[in-house]
Amino acid sequence: MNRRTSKKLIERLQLGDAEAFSEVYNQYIAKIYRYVLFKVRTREEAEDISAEVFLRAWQNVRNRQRPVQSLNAFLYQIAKNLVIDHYRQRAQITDVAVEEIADQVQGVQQQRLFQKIEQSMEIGRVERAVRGLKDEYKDVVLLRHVEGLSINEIAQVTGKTRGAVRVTLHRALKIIRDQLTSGTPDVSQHDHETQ
Amino acid sequence: MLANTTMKRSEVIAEIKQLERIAPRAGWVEATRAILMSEIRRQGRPEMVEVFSPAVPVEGMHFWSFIRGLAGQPVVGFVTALALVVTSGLTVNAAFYSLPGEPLYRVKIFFERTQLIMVSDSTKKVELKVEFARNRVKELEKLVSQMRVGETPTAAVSQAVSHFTQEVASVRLELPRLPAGNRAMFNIAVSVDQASRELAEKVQAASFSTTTPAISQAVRQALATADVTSQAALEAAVVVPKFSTTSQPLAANEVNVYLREKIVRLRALAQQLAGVKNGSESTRLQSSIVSIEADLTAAENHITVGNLSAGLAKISSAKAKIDALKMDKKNLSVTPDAKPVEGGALPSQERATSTTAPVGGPTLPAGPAETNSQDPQSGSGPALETTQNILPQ
Repeated sequence: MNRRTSKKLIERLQLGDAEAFSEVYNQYIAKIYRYVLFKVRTREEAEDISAEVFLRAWQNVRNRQRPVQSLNAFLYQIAKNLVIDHYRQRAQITDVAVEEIADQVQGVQQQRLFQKIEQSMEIGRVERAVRGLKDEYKDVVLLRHVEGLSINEIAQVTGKTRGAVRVTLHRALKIIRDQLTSGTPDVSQHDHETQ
Repeated sequence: MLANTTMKRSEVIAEIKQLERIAPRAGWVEATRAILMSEIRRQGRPEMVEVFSPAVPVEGMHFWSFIRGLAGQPVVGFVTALALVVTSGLTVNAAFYSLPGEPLYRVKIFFERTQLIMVSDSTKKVELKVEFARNRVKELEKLVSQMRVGETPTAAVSQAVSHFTQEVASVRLELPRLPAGNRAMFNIAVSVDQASRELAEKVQAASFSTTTPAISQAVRQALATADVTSQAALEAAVVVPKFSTTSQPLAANEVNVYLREKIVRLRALAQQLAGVKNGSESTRLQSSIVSIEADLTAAENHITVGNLSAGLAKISSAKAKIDALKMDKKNLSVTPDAKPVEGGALPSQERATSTTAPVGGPTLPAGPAETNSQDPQSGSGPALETTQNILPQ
């Protein structure tokens, strides 16, 4: 979607145009779902959170004082925040820190979830490599090279500077490359290197 | 499979781009679009039926029976039923009566979330969440009523309990955003406490099979989470000076009464726990009881002079000691005629005979469950509490 189309769509959304919402939904549902899927445990969680992203977007876009500049950044920011809320809520239940939960999620449950995807698609190695990344690396890689956001937009979504986004992206790509070429992914080793 | 050579950056990026092929289920995409558009258009027409209005229960029940008859596999049934109800405009009524495990249950949850998002007032949001927690308790009650005696509870029961936990946990997340010290905060504390006690009642009354470690774990979490949430809300409610007896006597009296009732229940529970037969442990237990009584007496004194925060702190301290005492008692026997006085336990092997609501707020169950591994996945699994029924008579 080019910038002018996006801008017109935002204007229509802000006026409460339901058809504009439908267009946004059609354009972004797969993208948002994919982004969320890499961050949660189950497909059902990804579906529920993704649906809520659009509901909140509809609510927020009309109540904002400052107009939305980038639909990309706007939607992914909502998605990111909803995932954080999701883990924060789980942390209230189990008394485990949010970061620990996110790390745990990258363990058993996601392995099972993505095994199903791997079986139907031959993207197992790269998917495993991305899944094994730290959350901040995963965000940058997915948003840049899968969802096609600009560096500026990624900076908005992640709250980093543009320079930090570039550095993070470079490091993430190096880790993925090492894993794809080594043939024996060692996520824990890479995690230590990046700390 | 890639050769063991260094890849170019462009090659790595090309590999990553393959992830674009991951896509959501087409049926889910369509169904979600339908729900979202329906909700958005409904907002533009306020004369339409409000969400979860039970005003047309008969029609809803007939329609739901029809939908249930059509549903096959859970996923297919969900999408099919959803397409039908959305096009017919009866989504709200049909979903309202659904239970965990049924095709329209996720629609029901989705509509609850929609309500939350559309409400901007923080206090109303929290009140809605408490209402949703109570919905989970009602669902649990219905599920239990459908079970045969001695039947192992299904995953749906566990789902209702864990959803309850999520709702009360999310209430706690919202509390810092609410204005402190107001009546609504106090009402929230009481409501969460009440919902938790209702949950404990339903679980206790169900007398689930003791070989359900997953349910035991879920219920423990639910009660603990509700306890923490209720406590947090109460602390926020009493912190502001305007709750002093001179400025808002009515509100202060209500809090006083509530806290004093809590003290009475905790005192009764402590006294019940003091009834042990094992002489070698009685000294230690009595010492714990004395400490608990000191806390409760201090709480009463604080409340009398209007220092509600300090009173609440002493109540919390007493409660923590009681919980610890219950943990200690897992190896001790209890007098056969000990009467239950406190709610919120795991179901025991004996059917509860209590007909009154649990008092004092649910406490974490102790008992044989805690001597085994805490891991609900362990083979032996934690046994349910057998040392005492803890619903009041």
